[in-house]
Amino acid sequence: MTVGGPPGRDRVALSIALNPASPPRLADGLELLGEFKNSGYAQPPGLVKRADGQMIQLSRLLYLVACRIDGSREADAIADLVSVDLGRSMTADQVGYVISGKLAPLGIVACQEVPAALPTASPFLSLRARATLLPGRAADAVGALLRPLFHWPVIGAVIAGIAAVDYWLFAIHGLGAALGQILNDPADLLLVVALTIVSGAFHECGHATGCRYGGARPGRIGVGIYLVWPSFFTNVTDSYRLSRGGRLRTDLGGLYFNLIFMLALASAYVATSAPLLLLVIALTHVEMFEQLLPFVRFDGYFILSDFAGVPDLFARIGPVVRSGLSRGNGDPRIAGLRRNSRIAITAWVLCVIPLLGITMVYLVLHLPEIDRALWHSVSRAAQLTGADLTAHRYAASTAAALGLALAGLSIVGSLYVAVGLVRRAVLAGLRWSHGQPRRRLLVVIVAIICVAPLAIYWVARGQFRDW
Amino acid sequence: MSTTAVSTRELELEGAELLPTRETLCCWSSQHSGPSFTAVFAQGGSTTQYGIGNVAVLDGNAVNIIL
Repeated sequence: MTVGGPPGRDRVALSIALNPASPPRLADGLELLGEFKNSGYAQPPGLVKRADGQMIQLSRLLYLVACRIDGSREADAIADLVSVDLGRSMTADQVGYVISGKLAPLGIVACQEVPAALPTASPFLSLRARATLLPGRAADAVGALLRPLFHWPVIGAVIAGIAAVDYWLFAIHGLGAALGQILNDPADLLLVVALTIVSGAFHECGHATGCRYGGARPGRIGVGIYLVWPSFFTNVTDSYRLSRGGRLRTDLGGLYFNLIFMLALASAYVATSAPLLLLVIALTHVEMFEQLLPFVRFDGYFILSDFAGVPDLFARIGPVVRSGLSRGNGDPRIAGLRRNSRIAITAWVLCVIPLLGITMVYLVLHLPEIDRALWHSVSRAAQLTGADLTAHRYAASTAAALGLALAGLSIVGSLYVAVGLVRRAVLAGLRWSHGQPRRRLLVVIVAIICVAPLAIYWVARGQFRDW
Repeated sequence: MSTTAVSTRELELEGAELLPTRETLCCWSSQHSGPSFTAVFAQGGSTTQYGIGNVAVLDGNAVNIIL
């Protein structure tokens, strides 16, 4: 630990700090949300929310400085207060450096020269092409309406009920009749599809309700494209402000609402004896299991993130790798973690790197033949759609059209993922070699070494034939 | 009261992180038999099956059913 003031060189750098004529003030609409609760860091960071909704996690010192900015205090007064809060002394110059060098560029402090565009998070593997189904206010109202479903007696009754349904369905009754029915009649298939879509939408209402129950404001519910799949989503960004319990309730709210939906289907089965309803119950189990996978941004990812007390696991991949490679203290984003959180995140990274790496490599190696198979499916579905329509088999036609749309979307998605990979690689190469001709030459050579064998592999395997 | 001063090195290491939008997802994935759906066609072209399915791409040709 260093004792004393900063060295002279840095004093010069720090002296650009503040204009004494105008005390610093926080940006308009900024919310100071307090400590990130149950954090995985030994020194819990603070949270702020900008007017545009961007959440920012600040180290403790930065947060303490932000808390003491009120539009009237000068840097020396802020420094005195922060020194007391921190239990260590800070100078006015240092406060000036924090404000101008750390807080202002993030849009936390108002400044005369407003940046053209404030920085926003650009997360890896995030949802794209969002469209709103329920705006934030409506989602909030839905959450408020359904809040009683999170009372403990209701939760207990739902779990007991679903245990009884599962025992009867899987241990006694079985799914044979439902499977036979759906393979014979495409109209029944459409009903299954419709119910699973409703189940997905209700799942998202569960997240919104869990978020609302804990005291945070859910944002909009909508649809978008995740990797290559159409997806419902709920914006629960405000749940960052909740405790670990509140965040986990938000994460698990979707799965809990799946249980409620299955109970409703079981009740409908009692009334109608329609075996298809049992099939939808079984499919919902599969969907719930998949939601628990932590390797992409499904519910399991957020559950793991909240148990570890770290908000963005994907952002830790680079620091974990760098910390593993370096012999020093490593990246502070990893070094500052509590032991259990560090172990959990490191284990997750060790699983996710090979998993995503192999998936991406497979996609690149087989991209033409994957899209060829999908294209054949699209062509065949288009023929069937037309033939069924002509023969007035409207249910079959609709089923074929849905297949066509999903196969077509998969083609677009696979290309989108591949182009995204190439773009990221190219940008990384350009950044790394910026202004350095030798590095730039190396980047070009590596690109040729990668692309040429890939093209030969595609051609040799005949991946461009039989389209 | 004597307190240790914050060093310049420490100040430089103080950081902030832009948190991603927290969006829970429920996908209509074609990789599982949950809410996904594809009309599925047998490889020979003469048989048509309908089902909640998965386009198999390992061999580059077959499109099969996993229901």
